[in-house]
Amino acid sequence: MTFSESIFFWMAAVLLALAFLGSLLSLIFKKTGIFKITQELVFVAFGALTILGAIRWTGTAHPPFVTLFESMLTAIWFTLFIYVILTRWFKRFDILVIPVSLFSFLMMGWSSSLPMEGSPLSQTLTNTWLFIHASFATSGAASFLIAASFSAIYLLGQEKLVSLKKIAPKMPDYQSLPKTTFNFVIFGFILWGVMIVSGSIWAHAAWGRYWAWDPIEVWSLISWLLYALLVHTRMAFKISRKFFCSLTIFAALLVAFALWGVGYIYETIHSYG
Amino acid sequence: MKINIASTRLAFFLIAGILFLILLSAIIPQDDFSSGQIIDLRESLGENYTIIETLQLDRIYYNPLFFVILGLLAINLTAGNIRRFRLVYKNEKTLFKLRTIGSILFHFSLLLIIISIVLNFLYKKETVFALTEGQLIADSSSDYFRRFNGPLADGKDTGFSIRMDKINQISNEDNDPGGEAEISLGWVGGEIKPSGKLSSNHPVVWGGYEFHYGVVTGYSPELTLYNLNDSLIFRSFVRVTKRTIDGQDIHSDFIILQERNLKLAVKIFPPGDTTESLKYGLFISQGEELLVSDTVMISDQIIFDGYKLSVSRIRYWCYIGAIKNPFINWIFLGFWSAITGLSLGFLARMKGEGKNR
Repeated sequence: MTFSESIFFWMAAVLLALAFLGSLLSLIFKKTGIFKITQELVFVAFGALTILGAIRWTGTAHPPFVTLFESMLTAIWFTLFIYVILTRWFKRFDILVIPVSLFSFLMMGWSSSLPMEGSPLSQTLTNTWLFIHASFATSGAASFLIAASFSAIYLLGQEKLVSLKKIAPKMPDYQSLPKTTFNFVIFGFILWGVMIVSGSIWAHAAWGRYWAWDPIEVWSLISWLLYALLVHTRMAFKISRKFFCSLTIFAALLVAFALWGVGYIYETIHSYG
Repeated sequence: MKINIASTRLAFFLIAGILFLILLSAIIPQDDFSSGQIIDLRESLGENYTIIETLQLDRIYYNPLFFVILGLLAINLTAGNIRRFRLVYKNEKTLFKLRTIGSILFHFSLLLIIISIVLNFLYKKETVFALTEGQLIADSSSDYFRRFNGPLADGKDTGFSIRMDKINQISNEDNDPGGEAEISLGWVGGEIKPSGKLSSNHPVVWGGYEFHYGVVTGYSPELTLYNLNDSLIFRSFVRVTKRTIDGQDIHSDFIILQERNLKLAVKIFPPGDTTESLKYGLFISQGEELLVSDTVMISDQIIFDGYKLSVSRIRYWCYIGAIKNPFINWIFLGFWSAITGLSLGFLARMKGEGKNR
């Protein structure tokens, strides 16, 4: 990792940590001013990550998807991108700052333990479909993470949400949170589906087969089917909203495992970098 | 208990069934993909492994239960959707709503995917050849390195001949052949013509087949064995592959001349940038006994027990895969239309159309 890359990496990490701490403080002391500052901190962290991605892209001559570290960074970038869009265009989603800054900071912590060096792209991997595949994988994961964030807020309970309303008065109705979660689940389901299809097209070009039940392929399909099950659970059984929200958090963890954890356990041709 | 074949609840249980089987396949090593792990599991489970074998849990994607669930899901999708959209039409007097169109498209696309996947599995043809430069093989089962044909694909040979003309730019990196192969193709009995260059990401399409450059490549030294009267006893290319033993990369292979009870092994070290600079370790054994070993350059001879052995030429070899997926376009049509359907449904949700879940 170059010196300039590490400056922007640690800058983003510190800003996200401050944003999370700030949002907690604003909750405790009911200070709207601090809460507004935390929004700006996340926005600046997003800017720092964008610059970091641009430097890495320029340095390695390929989009930052290739190593496990880069894949995680891109997923964090997409999460913050969705957050920035939601909060700039729809002010009522400001409250997302708490889970998003926490999850993003934890993921940055995880990524800091990984080898951070960039690596050149091998000939096997060089294909436009790889970039489509990796973009949809990371944006899909980001969407599931946002869904899990809404679920986490819902699971805090209605009483806690009343105190949250004091710092973010325009936040969505408590009862409507599962619906917003559901929308992001469907959005993520679409992106993850495109990820699987584009990945299979890329695998065909690179390895001569569309699908080979490689552990990452299997776990990606498991995650996708789990979300399909989640949607059907909601339609076929009158499950409680709390149960649905708990399931979306579990499913998001499974997505994180499918994307970044499988390589720790299985031998896979998808090993990063 | 009455089972409604068209119900969403049944769909839930069928998806859960598929999910469960795929989860099992992620836990239990599968015979086709993880043969090394299968051996470990067999050793650790002992006789209990027969349970896994009997239930075909080590071949889940060929397990009849997997196909039964897929079949039931296809029936459920058909029946469920006909029922659902009849109800929608009855209530709303139209099916031309974004949400309904999205839902119809998505669910019938899933049906198309399931049917196409099953048909493709039944009729697909996949073959892998290991070819040394200059080698021409007619299409016969004995020439395949590996062959997977669908159960209903005709058992006939594929009918083509393939010649490996040249392999360029071999890389020694794992999983990165970084090379290029020039091949010639023709139907058996017909003319064989140069048909293009294969490389990673660039297959050649010919006669309904796709020809892919394999991941594993290597050197192919030609071993020549004469007797002391210079009568040729044996000449053949061996295909040297890289193996990692105790952390060391070893490029070696051997052949056995059964009638003379000789084992001729060759090791290349270290793989150089040019084929001219390569050195070869030759090891000749009889039974368990090592008769002689020496390090030679190309054309150098080792003389032992009335024989002369040399590496007469050096070439490259690589795997070439020939694949025919007759229903693959239907599968992708299904996938893309399913995603279009999902997207339309999502747009409808965003517009506030339909039920508020």
